[in-house]
Amino acid sequence: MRTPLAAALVVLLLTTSSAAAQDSRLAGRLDSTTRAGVATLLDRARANRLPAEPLVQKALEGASKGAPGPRIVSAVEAVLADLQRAQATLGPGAAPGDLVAASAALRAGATPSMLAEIRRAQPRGGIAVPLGVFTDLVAGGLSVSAAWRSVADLARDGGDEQQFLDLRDRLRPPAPPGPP
Amino acid sequence: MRRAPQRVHRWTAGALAATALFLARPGPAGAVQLSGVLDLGAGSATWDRSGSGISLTRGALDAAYRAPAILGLSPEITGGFGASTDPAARTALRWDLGGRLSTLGPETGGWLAAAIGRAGVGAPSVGVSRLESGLRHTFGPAGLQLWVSRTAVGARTLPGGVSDTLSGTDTLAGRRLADYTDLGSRATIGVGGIEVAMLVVRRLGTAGLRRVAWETSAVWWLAPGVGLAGAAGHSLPQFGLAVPGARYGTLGLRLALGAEPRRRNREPPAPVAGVAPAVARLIVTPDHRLTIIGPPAARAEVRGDFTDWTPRPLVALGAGRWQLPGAVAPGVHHLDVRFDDGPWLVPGGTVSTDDGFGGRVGMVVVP
Repeated sequence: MRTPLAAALVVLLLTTSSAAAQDSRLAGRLDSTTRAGVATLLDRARANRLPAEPLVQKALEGASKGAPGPRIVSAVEAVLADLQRAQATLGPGAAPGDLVAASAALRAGATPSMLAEIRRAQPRGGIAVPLGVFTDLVAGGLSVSAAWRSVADLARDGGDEQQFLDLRDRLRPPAPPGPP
Repeated sequence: MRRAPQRVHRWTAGALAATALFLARPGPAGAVQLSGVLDLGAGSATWDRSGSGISLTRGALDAAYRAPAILGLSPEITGGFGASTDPAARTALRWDLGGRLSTLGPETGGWLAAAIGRAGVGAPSVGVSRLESGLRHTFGPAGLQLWVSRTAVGARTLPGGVSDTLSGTDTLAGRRLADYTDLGSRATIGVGGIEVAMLVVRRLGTAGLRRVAWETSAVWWLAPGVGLAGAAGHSLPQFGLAVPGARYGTLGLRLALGAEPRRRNREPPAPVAGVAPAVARLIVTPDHRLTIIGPPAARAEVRGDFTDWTPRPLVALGAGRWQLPGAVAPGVHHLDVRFDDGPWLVPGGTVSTDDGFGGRVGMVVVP
């Protein structure tokens, strides 16, 4: 009797854990198989003290765009991997917003040493805006090295959020012509 | 200018106004999306003809169904119903059914419309037909529309004649009650949440029909879907509904219904479903609101991580500007926009990144 009871408890615990990990917003937007796959990734994120919201949002984005289930799980897994890389550099106590911005910066070409440098330059404040500006500049056509040099210089000089945004506006290529 | 209900006592009287315009269009999964504008106002009116104590109450409802675009043209089926009554129990009715075909140019376009119907006192026994064509062009935040229309009221001999206005020379009877041409122009400008318009219409016809009408109006949007509206001008007689021309001034509310919150009554149609706008640009305002600047459209939507990736309608600010109600939390956000149920787009002003699903998504940093 002891073995079936233990198995039942394990199943119950797993079910409870998975249910807690699932977000109610995913119900009805994902099929059960995809939902289970995403729930596993959400469990893993929470276990590692990573923000789960970016994973939920990526899953919802995939559902909204009609992506097949396996592709949604794969995209969510990629987001989780980015967050893990960012956390490995910034430390387990990094703010969720900083982790999200750092993962975007890594995707744009930043290296872990760059993230560590910006963390050292801005030890007290958040680094989401400097990293967001870096990502913005790279995606706008600036080289990784040029974008990083500008952002890192301003960070070392103690620039505030508005100064980073001003930097972005100065360096970003002009927007294509359009309606005023 | 259709105003209803209106109460008239002798020459000058208080006026209550209510007009409604609805637009339906195909939505996702075969659903039909309904939107519209309802104006409610009060003011005063001085009629061009003495009413001898007659009071008049009038209401009007117009609707349109916009079909998917064909060959770069936007077809619409239009319909309208109106009624007016007076204490002598003379009820005038009118209805019409027609179509409108518009080009889809983002800045410059034109339209061609035709409608037939019936109108008259006691019963809608008089035939009414109308042909209209027009051009529109936008100059930044301003717009200009020019049109010409030909209207024929009454096509056969009528038993007993029909009074189309309260009295005097506007009373018409016979084979052809009225046959006239209107030359119209309308200029608009939108600045922030305020829209201002100036309308001038010159009516050409026989000596009794020649008139000039004008109107200056403004809407100040106090909240999404609720605007304070004011208008003053001199209207033309509306044959078939027994409404004479009048000088008037009104102040009231404009309520935006459904997904098309700020479309002005009787504006020519804007580009519609299935056509991607040429450009769209995102601006994050200092108070963390997302503003999209795009080509003229009847409807704009955004979806992103701040909407749980469900489409959310944007509120029109006029002059091609749209805004998401409420501020967005600081941080990194991903989003797409679309116009008139067209394809989802990455707007300018965002970073276009791989979305992991074989497409692109816009990324923006909200400080």
